[in-house]
Amino acid sequence: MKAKLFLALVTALLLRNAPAADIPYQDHEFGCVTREEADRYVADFRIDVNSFGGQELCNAAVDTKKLLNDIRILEQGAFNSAGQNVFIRGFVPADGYYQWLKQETRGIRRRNDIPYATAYNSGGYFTMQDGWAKLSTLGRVGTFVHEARHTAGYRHIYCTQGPYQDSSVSGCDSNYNYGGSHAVEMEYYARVSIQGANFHPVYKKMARLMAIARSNAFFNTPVVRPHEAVLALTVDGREAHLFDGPERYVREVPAAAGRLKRTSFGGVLFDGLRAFSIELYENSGFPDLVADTYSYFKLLAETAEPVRDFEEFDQDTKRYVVKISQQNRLAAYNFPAGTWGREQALAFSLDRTSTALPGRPGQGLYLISTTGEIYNYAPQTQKITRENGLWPAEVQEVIAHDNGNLVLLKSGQIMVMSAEGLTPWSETNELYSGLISTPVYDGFEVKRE
Amino acid sequence: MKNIHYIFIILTIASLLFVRYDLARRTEPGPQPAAVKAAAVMPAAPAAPAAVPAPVPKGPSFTEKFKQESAAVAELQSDPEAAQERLRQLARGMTQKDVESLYEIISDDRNDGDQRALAVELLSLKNDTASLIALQNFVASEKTATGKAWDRKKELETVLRAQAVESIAAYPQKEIALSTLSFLQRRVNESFLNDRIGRATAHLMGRAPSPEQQDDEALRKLIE
Repeated sequence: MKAKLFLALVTALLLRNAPAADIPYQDHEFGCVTREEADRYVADFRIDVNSFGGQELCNAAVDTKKLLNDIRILEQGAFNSAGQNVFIRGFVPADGYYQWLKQETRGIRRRNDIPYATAYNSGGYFTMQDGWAKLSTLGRVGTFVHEARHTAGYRHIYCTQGPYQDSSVSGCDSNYNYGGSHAVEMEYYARVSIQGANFHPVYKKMARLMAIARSNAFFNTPVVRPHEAVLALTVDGREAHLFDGPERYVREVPAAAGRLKRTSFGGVLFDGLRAFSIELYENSGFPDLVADTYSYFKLLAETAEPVRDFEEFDQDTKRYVVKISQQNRLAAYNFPAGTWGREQALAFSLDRTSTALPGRPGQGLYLISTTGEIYNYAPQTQKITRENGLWPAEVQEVIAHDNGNLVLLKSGQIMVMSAEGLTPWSETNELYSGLISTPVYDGFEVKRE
Repeated sequence: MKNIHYIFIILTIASLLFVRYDLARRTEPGPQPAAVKAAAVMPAAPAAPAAVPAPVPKGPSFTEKFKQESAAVAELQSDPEAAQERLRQLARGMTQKDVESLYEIISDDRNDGDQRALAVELLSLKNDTASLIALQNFVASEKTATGKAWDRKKELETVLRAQAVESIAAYPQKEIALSTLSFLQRRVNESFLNDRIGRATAHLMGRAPSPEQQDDEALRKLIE
């Protein structure tokens, strides 16, 4: 490895003085907007030029030039196909952004009267804030498209899922089909990414990442993203059944004892110290033990100290990892420091953790005592509070599923818990010893064998 | 794995320090040869008119080229492939100092978003050890999209870091890329970035297509 490193360094030094080719646009007119273009844009969009810093055709440090540039990209950006897909629905015609924006814009001005916003639309009049000026070009263009959609009456609603579901601000759209501001903005990013014909490579790459980053965040019905499937471990522990929508797959299971646990990347068998990966997407034909190297369970292997329980889970936009030691002490992983945080002693004896409670939709981290008491752990404050009620003695596992719960009874049956009570889950009548919900990623093909 | 990563970082820093020291030693004025010393004490002969060397036209500095290219991000391209080639050439000509200056650009959220995105791209194309460390430190830094409130500035921070994660995964030595991703998995608590790190890791281990391919597939998915 040293030799390779040295070689890399030597190569870097040799290349250090290699001349780079001239960039072919080194003239002072490069990037300037013509006066005719500028006049047309100002008239079409009723731009308050003075509020943007006065007329400027060339210097991108002046906000006027930024806005003119953005409009030019929207007018002249070309797409090499008009095909439709999950993202590209034709909310705005590919060759009609300029006309559409002109129609939806009564005026544009620059202020900083609502500093926490990037921009706002009041009756078709857009006010760009300081945050707008600091964005990338793609971010500014996306903001413009987004705000324009509001003119037609599309408004946001509270987020009922995703990272902003607890936010007090209405920031989501119900779904993509609604064609609201988020969808129209996403459609633009998707078009640039997969159909863009004359965009800068960096602009295109950012568009792809922006589309993916937003695909789950702002729609109460997610667009693409890992969807949740159900994984159940058979009573004999020899195989697992993956229930993914209407499909059911048989998955091989490592020949090891342990509790079936959910990870950020699927499922593992966890024995308190080691976690062995369950391959969701295909069977290898070999029952070899494969240590989990994707999720945070691998942290335990480094300290080689067995624990009572361990959970990794997401809440809002953050990931949390929590362990409860054999000494009944809880610690959360401190990501910025790259180490475990301070341990706190539990005031009760832990039996197990659970990410869901019977009769309650939604997920969290719950600590179940040996006497059945339920405690809620709030990861942001690290506070532990007692919940009402007791963990039902006949229940082995509970997971969130379809806005309700699936419950694994100690008898091995999987039941649906609803307001009417427990009813057998229609997907299977076999008996199981473990049950988790698991993310299944769209980019991975689940193979039958 | 963690230890290997630290050893790798220490080795890299030590190598860089050694190379710097070695270069400085070679270029600093050493003891003068005897002939030069003798000349100094001899009466000077009348100086012949020295030939004035013609000024060598100096090309634009990296900083100038970088500024021009970052302005180009906001421009439409008649030939996007030519733009990509310009980026490759610009990256090839980068020095250690340029890498350091790009790290400063990406790390300062007061800088222009296009400049920061371009800097991440150039570090990716450079693909050497110093660039890898710069990208790693950038992803590990804390300014990520956290908290309940959403804003586009935070979103930009996330997208830039996702871009950097892809760059790290593209490092030519797979073991080093994997150990860097593993290190970052423990430093980053933003679930979207964690997901990107996980996907990049799965790809490097041969379990999945690259995150770029996965994105493209998702974005191209046809309506049935």
